Amino acid sequence: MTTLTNGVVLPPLPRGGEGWGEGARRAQATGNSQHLNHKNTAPNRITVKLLLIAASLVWTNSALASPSLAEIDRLRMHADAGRDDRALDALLASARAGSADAQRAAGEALLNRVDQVRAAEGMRWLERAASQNDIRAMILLGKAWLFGSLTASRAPDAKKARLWFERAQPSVNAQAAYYMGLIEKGGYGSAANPARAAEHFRLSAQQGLPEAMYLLGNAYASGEGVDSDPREAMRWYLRAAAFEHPQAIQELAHAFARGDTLLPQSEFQAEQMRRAVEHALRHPKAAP
Amino acid sequence: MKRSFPLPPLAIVASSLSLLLASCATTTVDVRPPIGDGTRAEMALLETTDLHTNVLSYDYFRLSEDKTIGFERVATLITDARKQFANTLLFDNGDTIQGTALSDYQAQVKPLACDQVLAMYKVMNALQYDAGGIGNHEFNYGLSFLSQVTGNRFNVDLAASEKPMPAQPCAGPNFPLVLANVLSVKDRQPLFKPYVILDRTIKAVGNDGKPVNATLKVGVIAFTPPKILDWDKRWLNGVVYTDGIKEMAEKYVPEMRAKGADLVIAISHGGLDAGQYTPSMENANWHLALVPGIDAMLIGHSHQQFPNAASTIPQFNLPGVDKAKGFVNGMPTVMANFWGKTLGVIQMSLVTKDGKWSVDRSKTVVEARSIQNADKSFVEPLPAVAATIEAEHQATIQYVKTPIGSSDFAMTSYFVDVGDTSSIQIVNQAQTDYVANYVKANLPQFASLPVLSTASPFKTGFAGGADFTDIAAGNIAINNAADLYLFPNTLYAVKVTGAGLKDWLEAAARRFRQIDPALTIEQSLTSTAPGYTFDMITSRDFSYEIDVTQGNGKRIKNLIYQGAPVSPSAEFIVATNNYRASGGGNFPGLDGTKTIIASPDTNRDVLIQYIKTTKALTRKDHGSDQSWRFSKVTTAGPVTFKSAANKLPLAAAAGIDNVSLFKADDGSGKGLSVYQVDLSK
Repeated sequence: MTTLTNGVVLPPLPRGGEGWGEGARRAQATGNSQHLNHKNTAPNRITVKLLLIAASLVWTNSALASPSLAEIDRLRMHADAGRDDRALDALLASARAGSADAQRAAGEALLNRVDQVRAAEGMRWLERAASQNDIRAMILLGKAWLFGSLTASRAPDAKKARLWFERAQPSVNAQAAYYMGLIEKGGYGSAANPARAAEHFRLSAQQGLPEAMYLLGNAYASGEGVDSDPREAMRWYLRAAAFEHPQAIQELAHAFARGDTLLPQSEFQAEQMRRAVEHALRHPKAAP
Repeated sequence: MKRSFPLPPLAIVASSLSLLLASCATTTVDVRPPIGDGTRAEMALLETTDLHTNVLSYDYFRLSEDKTIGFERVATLITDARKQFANTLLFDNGDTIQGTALSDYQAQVKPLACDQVLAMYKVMNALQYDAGGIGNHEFNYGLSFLSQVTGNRFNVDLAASEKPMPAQPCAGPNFPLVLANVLSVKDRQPLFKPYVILDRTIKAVGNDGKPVNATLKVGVIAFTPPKILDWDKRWLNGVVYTDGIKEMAEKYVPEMRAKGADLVIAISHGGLDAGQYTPSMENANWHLALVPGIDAMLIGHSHQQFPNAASTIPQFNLPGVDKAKGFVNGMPTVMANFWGKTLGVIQMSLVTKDGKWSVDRSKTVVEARSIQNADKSFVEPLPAVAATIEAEHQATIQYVKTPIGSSDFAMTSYFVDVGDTSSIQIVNQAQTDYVANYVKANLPQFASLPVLSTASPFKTGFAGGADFTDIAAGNIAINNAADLYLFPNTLYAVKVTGAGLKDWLEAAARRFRQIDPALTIEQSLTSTAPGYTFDMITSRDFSYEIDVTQGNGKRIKNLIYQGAPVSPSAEFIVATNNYRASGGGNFPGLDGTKTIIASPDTNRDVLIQYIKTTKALTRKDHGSDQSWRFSKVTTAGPVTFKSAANKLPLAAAAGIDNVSLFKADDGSGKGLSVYQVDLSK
């Protein structure tokens, strides 16, 4: 059991042969078995190294003893959309060796597999990565709890989500700030606090997240948590629209159709914006 | 190399090109006569991108010319460039075969026969493209269609919802389409050829100053955004996957060089992002520019123009990006805007040394040439383009005008603020039907939840009497659907509680001012909240009251579903659009967290499909359900609202019996009258 500083208790991870990936099993079968006979103990450094080499040999035929972030992301793409179990094995081998990036990537790939067992395994890997202070793993965990999962039967739990987003340091992480804003705005798990929501959206927007820019614009448009300021709202919509944020572009379309202090009435421009909405919606940005 | 219009018959072009391709596919050893050192040649790379099947300068929904767009005008720029430069190569970046009613017509309405070539590719064949890349939108109609129209037979296990793969390769473009970073799950091989090496004879000047012909091998590799897997999940999930753009370039560029490529051109459908490189990033080209062995990048996807000294958009204001001269980390780079507004041009000076061509980068000039002249006029179209696709163009116009159904009532928004749902109910019915079917098929865990829908009027007279939805009784055509659903939003569904639904309707009721029944002076019914925020339910199963005598947040009363009061903890699925579900209008709780369906289908297309299926719409079944009513109250003075002049008969036809004319002319000069509503009825 691992206990994190905030009191979240992680379940134990599978050890020894159980749960090891195909790559590792191949390593066992090809003469490295004496190094791997440590049931119920963490693998030592030599076996980890061998495992890594074996796994990556299987996957790419080139020795990648300690994969870079880009290599890990690539393995994740192959393991996830490519349904490539060898790539997943390579990721898991690196994850077991202690790479937080690999733990996060393996967790993400497993979360996207439809069955409940693999998704739960994915959550555990994300927690392992988070225990190494991996911010992106904390964001993924926060999202997993905020939204829950239909396929993995995970009910949303806003309190758990909030803990992860807080740990991810909203003051220096745009995504964490954005989700904290959503939690404060919606009053998920605690009473709504529009002023704190707007502050979080501002933090996130200033770090460049268009979704937060848009919701900060909404806050100014409605005077929710900040003093109502339609011009400031439009400025934030414009900034978000520069990132092809579809809803922000739609606000511009509305503004051009009706005329606005920043955007003078123009049916031509309104129509251009409607077309821009159409394009932006054809390839929406993934949620933060 | 230099071409002139008119062109040889397409068949000849096709056969010579396919011979050319066959020869380069087998090229492994570079056997060419040596070129004398110091031989020079001028080469211009021409790029189109994000054409989105805007072949003509024409708007199919308005059925009118739109000179600001259109490949037929870019084609003029292409022929001009071919006159200007001794050698040119013409490339397309992708997002080519989807985006207008013409493309929908050929993909979905009257699917293209196997022996036919897409209109877009026909005109590109006529302009003799040298090669093309694949954008994300190429995947929009599915892999079976993409396979067919590009003349391929992909080795994939298609998604269950796809039509079968063509039995044999069908007609396609006469130029190679390449794509290096999308692979089949089935065989782990690239879906398209990852690259091609073109053999070209070019006009050069020898070191003795005399003109000579020389050979040039041009390697062309292409990439598309890895995010296609999200955007076209329904076709691509489990069928294909993507690989890193940088990694694929690092793999294939040396291979192309080893096969003798003198120049390597990267066509990459994406923009710029200087964040840390990851293989899954959407806009990888800032990093791609750093891969050795590439001579120029033709980019796209962002619908922007690059170079553009005045651009303020974030991706062109990054370190290493020279937005005035068109260089990214030293790499000549062009992005040719979208919809045929612009031609990208990279002029390169080639010189030989030790028998090999190299680029003298000091002489490279990058431009984005607009179809709009300095005096705001537009270049003339190239007539051959329209002539080539006249039949497809006319067929599309016919399709847009063809009735998809009929209605026995006028669908109008003149009296929507007082309860006429004739322009709303059909939208709600279509959305409800779509979501109910989706839940049944894909979300069995929600099968027991009631499905409702909200919609709001897009036009409520802000700009005057003509600014209302008004579709006469009779036939309904495709373009009427755009009148009924003004925005190209996509259909979303959210899961909300009874309390959440009440909050939603409360926010919608901000459309109305608070009415003081005791006041004897005239009071306006509507507030400054725009009509498009007035979401309403129109279902026989659902009813509620709006009490305008109360302040905001306290007006929605007597919510009844199927005869019983709605419990605050009850759960509902509500169909709406991406805008509302993701925070548009700042509705309480609607911030993206409650979305359970984010369909790639537009609300408008869902509506069109519903009308096609229903065929005959009747007032009784599709235009008279009014879930909401004002709470009855007797006011001492008149309560009034504005609508177009002379429309009272429409209110009567819709069964609105508490409205009368108050003032024939509201004094605005915009064709509006003031009407009175009797809230006691």
